[in-house]
Amino acid sequence: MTPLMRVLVVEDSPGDAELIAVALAESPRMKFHVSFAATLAKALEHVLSGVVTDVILLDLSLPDAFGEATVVRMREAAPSLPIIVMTGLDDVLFAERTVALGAQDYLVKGDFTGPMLWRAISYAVTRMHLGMEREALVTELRAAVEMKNKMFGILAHDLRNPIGAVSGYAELLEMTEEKSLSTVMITSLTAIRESAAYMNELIEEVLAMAVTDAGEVKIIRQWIDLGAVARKAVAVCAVAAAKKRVRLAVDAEPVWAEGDAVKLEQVLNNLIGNAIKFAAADDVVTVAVVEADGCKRLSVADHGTGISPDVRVHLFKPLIKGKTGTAGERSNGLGLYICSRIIDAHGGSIAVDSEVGRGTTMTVVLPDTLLPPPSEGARRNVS
Amino acid sequence: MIKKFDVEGIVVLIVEDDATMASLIASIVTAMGATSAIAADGSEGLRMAHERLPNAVVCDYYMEPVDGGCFLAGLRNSRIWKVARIPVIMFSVETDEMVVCKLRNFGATDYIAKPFNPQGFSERLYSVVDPQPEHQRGVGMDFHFGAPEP
Repeated sequence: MTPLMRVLVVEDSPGDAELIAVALAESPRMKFHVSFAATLAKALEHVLSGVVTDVILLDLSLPDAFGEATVVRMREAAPSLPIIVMTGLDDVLFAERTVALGAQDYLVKGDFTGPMLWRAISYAVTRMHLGMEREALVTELRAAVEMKNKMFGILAHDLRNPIGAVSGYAELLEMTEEKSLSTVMITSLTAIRESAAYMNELIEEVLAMAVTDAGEVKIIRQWIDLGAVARKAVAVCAVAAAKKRVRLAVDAEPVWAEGDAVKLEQVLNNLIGNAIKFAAADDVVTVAVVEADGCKRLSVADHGTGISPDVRVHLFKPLIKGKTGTAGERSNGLGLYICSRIIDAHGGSIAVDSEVGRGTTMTVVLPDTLLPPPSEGARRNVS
Repeated sequence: MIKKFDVEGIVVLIVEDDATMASLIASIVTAMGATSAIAADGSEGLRMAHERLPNAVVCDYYMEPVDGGCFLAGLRNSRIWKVARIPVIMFSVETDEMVVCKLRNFGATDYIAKPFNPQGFSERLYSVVDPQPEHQRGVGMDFHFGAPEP
């Protein structure tokens, strides 16, 4: 059985319309059912009245519409119908424009044969269907991702409360009942508290990822002193370092750059945290800030276990878990991914230089920006 | 270590709809040597603040049906002077700066992000409580009052 294709020919010249009808009638493989409309208004009426139509052949010089506007108005009325433009104007640029506006094809009158028209119609319909299918999939996928991120957010928010209660109670017991607790009890409480802290860290990072994945990482651009950011990050990490008897050294001069102080501190905290994780006792972790060749470099160097090349490849990919730290610290595989997203948003880059057994240096390079140096007031705001 | 109050008879009102969290805070308050009272939402919190005239309030932000923001606004606009001046520590899982800023403008004395550790919590609570006797409370402590800063 030959398939039936319902064609609406929008053409005000009876002669041209007749030629198209004849060309379509000659088709051996496909049966065409042709309707005519002499004006755009008639065509829109035809389409909107619910008459089933598979494809529209559209002339662009109609009594009530001319040029690109004809395509736009037709598309608006019937966004799911493939349109083939047929016009006397042989202009490549104009043809490209009409296709960009949503036409499936552009044929020049008197320049095509019957078989060319049949093929054009058949391909236009197929392309349109594929396009619509893809669009529906993309919409569905977007909604699914958005839903997932929203769920992540809600879950993370709602988990903070009970986890806070777990760690809070454990800590309270340790503090208030210290004397009446046995060694086993205290060890257990510490384990409870540390597990809760790990869970909380995981939640923070999942939340951060949900936020960064949902779209562009939002950077609040300000002139900031990277040296001050580094010193602050080192101060935050001091407790964790002291616990593992790792010494933190800062080698940071004031280097002014345009960036988001909070986000960059988050990156540094993460890098320093990793360095501490893989450091042995009495190791030194050096945090340095230098300005060279118009670039601002933040680096965190350790003399820890180093990262093997096969791990290095996947270092900045999400959810690829790293090694366990020297004191059994766990990894959730999100930290460095989030770092790289933040640095990307700054227009910078993050690099790793590592040798197994020798240590690792993570370097963040921020581009030199063209903004004028900060005024005195702005300096005071940051420091 | 948990920070302890220097004087006796301190009352802290806890406004929190999560019973586990409320009882954890109550335990910290007890360990600090003070008495606690628990309200399960903002409206009950407002009623209890007027009845008990606590030395400080710690209040969750997300609550149903009356949330912490409404509680804070209600408290700061109380016609009873002593109630309007009670120091309030807001706490929440929210770390969004806009929310924190809004709460400060509403007149929150301090803000603590969940999860918090008992020691830090006790230190913050200690620092907002005015240890003076009730009839002198608030005198010279204008920074407790919640007028938005310019």
